[in-house]
Amino acid sequence: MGTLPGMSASLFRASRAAGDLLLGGTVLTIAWLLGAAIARLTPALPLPGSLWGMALLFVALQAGWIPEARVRRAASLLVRWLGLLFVPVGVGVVAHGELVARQAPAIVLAIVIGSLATLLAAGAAAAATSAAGRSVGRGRHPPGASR
Amino acid sequence: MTQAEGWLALAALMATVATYLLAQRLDARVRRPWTNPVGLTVAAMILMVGLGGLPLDAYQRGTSPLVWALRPAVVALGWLIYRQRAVLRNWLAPLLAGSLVGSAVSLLVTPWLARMAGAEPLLQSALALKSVTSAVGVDLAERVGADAALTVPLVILTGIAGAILGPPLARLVGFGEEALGVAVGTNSHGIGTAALAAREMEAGTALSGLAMALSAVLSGMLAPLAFTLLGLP
Repeated sequence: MGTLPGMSASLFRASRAAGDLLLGGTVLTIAWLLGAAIARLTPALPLPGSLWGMALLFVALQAGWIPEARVRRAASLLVRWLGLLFVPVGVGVVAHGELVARQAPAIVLAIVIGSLATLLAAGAAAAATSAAGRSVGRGRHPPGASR
Repeated sequence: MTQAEGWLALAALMATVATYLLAQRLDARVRRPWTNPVGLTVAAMILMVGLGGLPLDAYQRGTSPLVWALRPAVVALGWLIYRQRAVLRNWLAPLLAGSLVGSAVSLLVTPWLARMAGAEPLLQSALALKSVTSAVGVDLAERVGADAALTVPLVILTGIAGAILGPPLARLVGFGEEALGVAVGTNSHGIGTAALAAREMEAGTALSGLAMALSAVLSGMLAPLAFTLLGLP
């Protein structure tokens, strides 16, 4: 029975991690709900609830209303898997397959060249206006400790 | 929902997650532009839906938990922005300048290119909104008289295109991580932001998330002007 204390300790850690995720996820969902309410109340502004929620979460963390540690685990998990969450939306292109196939050359040209032009314009404007045009934190950073 | 449909939906979810994990592993190993995990997984799933005979509605029913999680995930970018607030302080003006210039270029150049390639006006006006994050894009399309249903797939394709093109372009022209973040967020909204998050560029991801939000707002203000200039819709 020597492993029992070890097992219960790891069980405790696992349940605390799950609790952290659940609590953090709840905070993020509440921020989204509040954001959706703001979006509904401001039909003149083009921002959806999730982007209002993003702004709200930033303000709440900055003002100290929510401790950063409260959302860290859930937020880092969601940001890490953000790409996966976009996959079903992307597969939705199939519903417009016929049109995309019919107009493929124009679409590919406009999206590829248009994206290159947009990326270059936005990046160059940002680099030109950044302090002396130099990068502060170049390179890959180690992510948060919980990632 | 019959039992068979339920199993099909579950299989769709598991296939999506498994394919994404594989694509991510491949991307970590080879790290080529074309190994973008979102692009690869979307392509594989389209093949499964298109050729494998899985009905699109079964696929979408199965993967609805992922779509649901997208909302708190976008909110979670606010946490990343908070963590990167020191970088943000130095990059606030560049962020504004990049989002403004990038949005204007996207709104004008993209439909013009489509016109040169012989696209009909309906497609030109939908392409003008290519860089506006989809929830905003739909709303904006309705307000400026573009086709919302047509806008969404073009927005998604632009997301994938910028996620693939952004990092090699930045290397080529010498953009740092921050300028890349502004560029990718402005052009490729959430999908571009996700690509930077997957590469563990924390400052770039935070700036990309902000550029996505800012360029959505700016595009909303600039779109009517751009449409008038181009004689659209």
